[in-house]
Amino acid sequence: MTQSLGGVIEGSFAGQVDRRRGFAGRNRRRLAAMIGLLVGPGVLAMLGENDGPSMLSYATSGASYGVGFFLPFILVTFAAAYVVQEMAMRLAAVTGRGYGELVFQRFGRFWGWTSAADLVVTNLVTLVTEVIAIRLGMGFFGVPAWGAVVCAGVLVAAASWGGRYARWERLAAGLALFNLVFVGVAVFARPSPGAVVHAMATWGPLPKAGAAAFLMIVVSNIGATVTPWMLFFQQSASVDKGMTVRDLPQGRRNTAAGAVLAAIAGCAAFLAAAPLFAHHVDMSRYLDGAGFAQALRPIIGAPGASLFALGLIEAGAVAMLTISASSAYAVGEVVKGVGRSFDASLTEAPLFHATNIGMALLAGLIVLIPGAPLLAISINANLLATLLMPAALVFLLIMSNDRAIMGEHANGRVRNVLGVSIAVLVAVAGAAYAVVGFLGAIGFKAF
Amino acid sequence: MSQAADLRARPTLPPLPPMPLGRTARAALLGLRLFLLLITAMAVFTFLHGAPR
Repeated sequence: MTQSLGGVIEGSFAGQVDRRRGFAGRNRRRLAAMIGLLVGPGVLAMLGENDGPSMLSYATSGASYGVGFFLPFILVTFAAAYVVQEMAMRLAAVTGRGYGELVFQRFGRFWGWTSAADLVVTNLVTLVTEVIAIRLGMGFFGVPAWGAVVCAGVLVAAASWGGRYARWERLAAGLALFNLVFVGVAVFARPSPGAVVHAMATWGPLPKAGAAAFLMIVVSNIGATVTPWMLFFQQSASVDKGMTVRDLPQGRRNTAAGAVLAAIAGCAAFLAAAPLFAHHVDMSRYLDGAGFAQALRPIIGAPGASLFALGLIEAGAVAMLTISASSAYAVGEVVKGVGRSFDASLTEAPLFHATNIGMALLAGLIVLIPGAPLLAISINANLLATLLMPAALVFLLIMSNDRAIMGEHANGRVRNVLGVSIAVLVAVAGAAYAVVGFLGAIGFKAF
Repeated sequence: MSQAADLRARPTLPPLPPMPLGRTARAALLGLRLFLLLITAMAVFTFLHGAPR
């Protein structure tokens, strides 16, 4: 069984195209080709996940509790993200199939459609928050809401224009590197090196908060780093890029590089907002405006605040690209007989491109609805991702252990222990928050 | 085949057969069903009674 399935996959995959860059990167060692290999789905998934709500979540942690427990916690969530994203990349390189396609074929229609529906709903909610982030960032510079929505829609449409994955990836990667502007904001915020070292060494001081508020920030930070769309995206984009078993080392480096870069940017957003805690700023005054950028201006100055607003625009823009793409890949993989690649033109893969652009436009339209509960959507986007993540992780773990398709590349003991621990941690955190919310809703104030 | 056409061409992989599930995988999927049911029920109930702020 192992041999026959492996043989089918290897044989068909031998015809995989768009491998020129991969070949050049491995064999000719040209700098451009090496960078092309390094900046790929792993970097995009990680930096794409440093999206609007994620950066706001890290900033909220810093503004609410100061430099302490959440700084090392954020780093741990990125380490967890590396573990699960590496599995998704490995599945793609070995099987040549996307996540949705594999779930559909190996577990049947029910789980295939459930996974895809789960993803599309989460993605739509998240995309709304990305448009909100772009709107908040552009609002800081006086751009009206409709202008931000138009920019977001045009970006997604323009990126997929031309029918080439490599072109789409280069545009997204170029934008994603600007995620590091948050490092500049952190420099303006001048965090105390002593407090940073103390937090990293002791995981303290611990937040002084009620269990419900603490859980909400924990779950929100997990949802800011480990989400279902990342699995769908990295696996499908790795297939689209043309990765094979030979590319596994590059894929791991690519994913690790993404995790390191994203962790630096995430911690920078946390540190950038920490002065708000030290100055006892009431963030509820800024919820309707440009938020953190406005609140930070009197403390870290206009240049730092402007950088924060620019960072929000970038975070929202990159996530618009990657999250729309993950929706398109998912739909393309579960609907039989349709194209599902950026290498296909509009006429060759109409459903793929319609989903990609349609999701972005729909999110933009929701943001423009007068009186839409945008604040509630923003707050709950990461929570929703955390609640639905265990489902995605269960399939990822089962498939990564499936020797019939993975052969010698199936998970070993260490990867399984790490993977199962992450799945349990995410499930427990999500379920605990759901239970606290449920108890609160029925009037039981236990915390 | 031109370079552009070659770059667009993608092989169609044959579908894989359903995965034979062992005891652990079946237990994991059952747990997943229960988890999703529980979360959905709680989310609906919480939504109907006002989401926490």
